[in-house]
Amino acid sequence: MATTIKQIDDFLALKRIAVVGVSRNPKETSYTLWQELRQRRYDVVPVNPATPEIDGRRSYASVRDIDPPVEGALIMTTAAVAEQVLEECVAAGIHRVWLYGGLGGGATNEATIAAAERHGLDCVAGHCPYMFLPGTPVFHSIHGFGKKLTGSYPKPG
Amino acid sequence: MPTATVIYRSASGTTRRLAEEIGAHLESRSINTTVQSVGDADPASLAGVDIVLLGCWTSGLLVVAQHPDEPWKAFVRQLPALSQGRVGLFTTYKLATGSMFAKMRAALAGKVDRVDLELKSRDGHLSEAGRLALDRFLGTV
Repeated sequence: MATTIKQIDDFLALKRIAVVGVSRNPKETSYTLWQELRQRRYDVVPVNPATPEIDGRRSYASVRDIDPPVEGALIMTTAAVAEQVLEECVAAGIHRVWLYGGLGGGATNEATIAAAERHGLDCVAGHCPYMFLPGTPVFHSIHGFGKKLTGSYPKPG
Repeated sequence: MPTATVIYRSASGTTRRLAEEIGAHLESRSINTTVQSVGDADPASLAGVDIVLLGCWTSGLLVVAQHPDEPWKAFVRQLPALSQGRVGLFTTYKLATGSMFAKMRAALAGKVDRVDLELKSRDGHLSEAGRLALDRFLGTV
């Protein structure tokens, strides 16, 4: 399942998105990306079963608990946890997901990609949203450029 | 009691830290202060505020082409005219602010009559010089 630019554009066109695995640590990528999306006026809902609140925002234990429901889920857990999250997304009626991919793999591996396919989810697999948000710090563009050089950048589709 | 709103656009958290330190300093001067990100603030709510401070991280190629990024500019485009209150700008940067303040002022053209403060910090902390500049700025309110 090769992710296309259209899938990424469609995901980033959503308004209300769950971010699963948001850390309370401001130095963690999951926290900074959640903040980035907030500042871009996405209605982003944190999901972290370890805490009821992050930065004054209610944090949910599962995507199934979110009300009103979200349109998509950005999954930033480890791959080991992501399979369970995908099942919860299906149970919550979420059909559009993004398996975060960063250094160390993030939520993406062969098993999670296969699980997303098995569930029939529209899945962005293995990329970092920072590369596709306009006007982010230059190193994110360099990351994208590197992916283009290695042929792993998404195709238009 | 005068009111202030400090609005920030932060990419890594440094500009947010500066905004929070600016907010704490204003509170210490008995100014009723709100600190919000560009994603949380309602642009229309700034119309009646006495003091508005708008901050953004310095985007660009380290020493050239510095500019505020799109989320900050998008917020500014939605601002009403801020003719009632005093307006100040702040930024955080790595090597140089260069054209940052000029670009911020240009984005605010037609929204504010003048900008009375330009404050910058490398590390997101409000320096002693920054506190003094803020106090001078407050003296004009």
